Amino acid sequence: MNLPFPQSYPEDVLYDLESERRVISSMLHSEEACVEAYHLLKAADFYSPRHATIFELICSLFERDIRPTYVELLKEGHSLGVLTNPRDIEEIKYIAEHYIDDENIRYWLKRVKDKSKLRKFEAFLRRSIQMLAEGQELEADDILMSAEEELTTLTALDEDDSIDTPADLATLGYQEVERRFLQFKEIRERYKGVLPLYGLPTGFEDLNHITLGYKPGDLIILGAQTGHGKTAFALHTAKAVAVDNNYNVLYLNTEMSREQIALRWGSILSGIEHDRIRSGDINENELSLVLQGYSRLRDSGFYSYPCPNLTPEKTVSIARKFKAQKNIDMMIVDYVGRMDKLDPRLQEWQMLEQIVKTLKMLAQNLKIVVMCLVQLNPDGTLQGAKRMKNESDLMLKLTPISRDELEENEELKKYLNPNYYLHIEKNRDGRSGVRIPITFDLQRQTMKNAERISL
Amino acid sequence: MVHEEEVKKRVYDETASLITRLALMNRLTSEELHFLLTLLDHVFITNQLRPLINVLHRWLNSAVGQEMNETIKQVLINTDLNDETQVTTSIQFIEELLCSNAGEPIAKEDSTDE
Repeated sequence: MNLPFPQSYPEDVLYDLESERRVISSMLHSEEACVEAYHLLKAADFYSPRHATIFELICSLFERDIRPTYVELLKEGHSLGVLTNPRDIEEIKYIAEHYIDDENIRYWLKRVKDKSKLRKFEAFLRRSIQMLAEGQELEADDILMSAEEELTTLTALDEDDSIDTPADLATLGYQEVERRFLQFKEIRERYKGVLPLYGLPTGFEDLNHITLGYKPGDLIILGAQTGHGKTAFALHTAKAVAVDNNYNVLYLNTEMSREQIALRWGSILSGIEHDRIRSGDINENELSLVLQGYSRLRDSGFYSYPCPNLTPEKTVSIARKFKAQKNIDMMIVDYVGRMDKLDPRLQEWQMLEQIVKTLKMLAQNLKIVVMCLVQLNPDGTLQGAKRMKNESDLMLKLTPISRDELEENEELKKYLNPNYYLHIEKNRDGRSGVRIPITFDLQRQTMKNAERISL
Repeated sequence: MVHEEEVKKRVYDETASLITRLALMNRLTSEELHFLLTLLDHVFITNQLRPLINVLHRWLNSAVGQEMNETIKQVLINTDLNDETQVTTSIQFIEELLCSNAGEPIAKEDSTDE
């Protein structure tokens, strides 16, 4: 049976203008819709060129943290010279006016994406038919292989995904080793052997040395018991990354207020005891030190988001927004035990597993470092530890050093004031099972590698 | 209440479209378009700039000459509506112009004649 290749299709098979309008309209009215659409769609997914342009304008506003209202959209379009026709304005107005306040943005996004895939499929079929129609002498296996590759991309993979051939991987591997070899050589010659970091600084020399820094896509889990430095560790990390090195960090805190977080920074950056900062028991010189400290915070890349009702879904949404608008390099979640359950039937360990999986995916998709803080049981164990360990790239524990150990352990006597251990429980890229003695100044909320006593 | 919101939204959409259409027809300059759209957003969305709106009402209801109209327009267009200090200075300046035109004593800032 020979069927001619159709020149046209029933309406709506390859496009759905209503869904495109709904998506754009939702973006004009809801930030959440903006975040979702920004990450899921590309301008090319829209069938209507006008819709594609409007989508690009909204995304451009969103990236600059400008609320994409109808008016802002008109201003942006006018200043870029892309709204030149009264019909463009009528179309935007129609879209803005016909918004129905529903929460089905995911449904409309899927419709737009699906139609986009169908159009690509149709284009693929057309190309294939064209190739046969031209009657060239072709190898059947080659044609089928190429078709299969295209279809796989359409069905299973995102556009940005790519499969590395053995040659690709070998080239990449050699380039990486060569780059590191040359860098190492240079460092050895010029900087007396101090290893360069390949990721973000950890805030601890020994941890930098072992991990070579926190790398994009990494999920880092830090466990500590209640009152034993989870937030201090998080802010110490944020200081190393965002204040000392000006990377952008998003800090999500589920239990502290804005004021509490701001006050902690006062102590960390001025070196004045936290209790005195809190009570205001400081002199004028110290006040000036505090001011200097906050001016460093002002110039840093630290973004704080106190969020008592954090859910895994909300975390994803916030992270995407900040990645788009502030280009964050790292997100710290302090802490996951306080996250709200989406499904009350879930056990505690199931919830933690779900959260950790979400965070790992987020780190990889956004190419950022995600650090999540978890609470250790009183005996130092971690609920759902095995599952968490599986998902994480680096698993750390912060535990106090007992008085007995300080007196008996000869190795510890080589350090000045060690009071905590930072255990490396798992390290996907290097050594694990290591304990780093550190000095945690609870009053000043600062941490550092315990200094070795020089002999 | 819902109806009122709908009406407000329609007025907002219509006004924004009208301003942009006028600009496309070259009856408004880019600066005028920018100013009017920003003002619209402030009025409908942030609901700020009440003192500025009041002074604009006063301006509309006063019979000033073309030269003064032009001066006031230039002051407004060159005011960054997101900068509180600039807005206050401009309001004061326009108030002074309107008062001098009407031969009145200069009114205090933030006078609310809603």
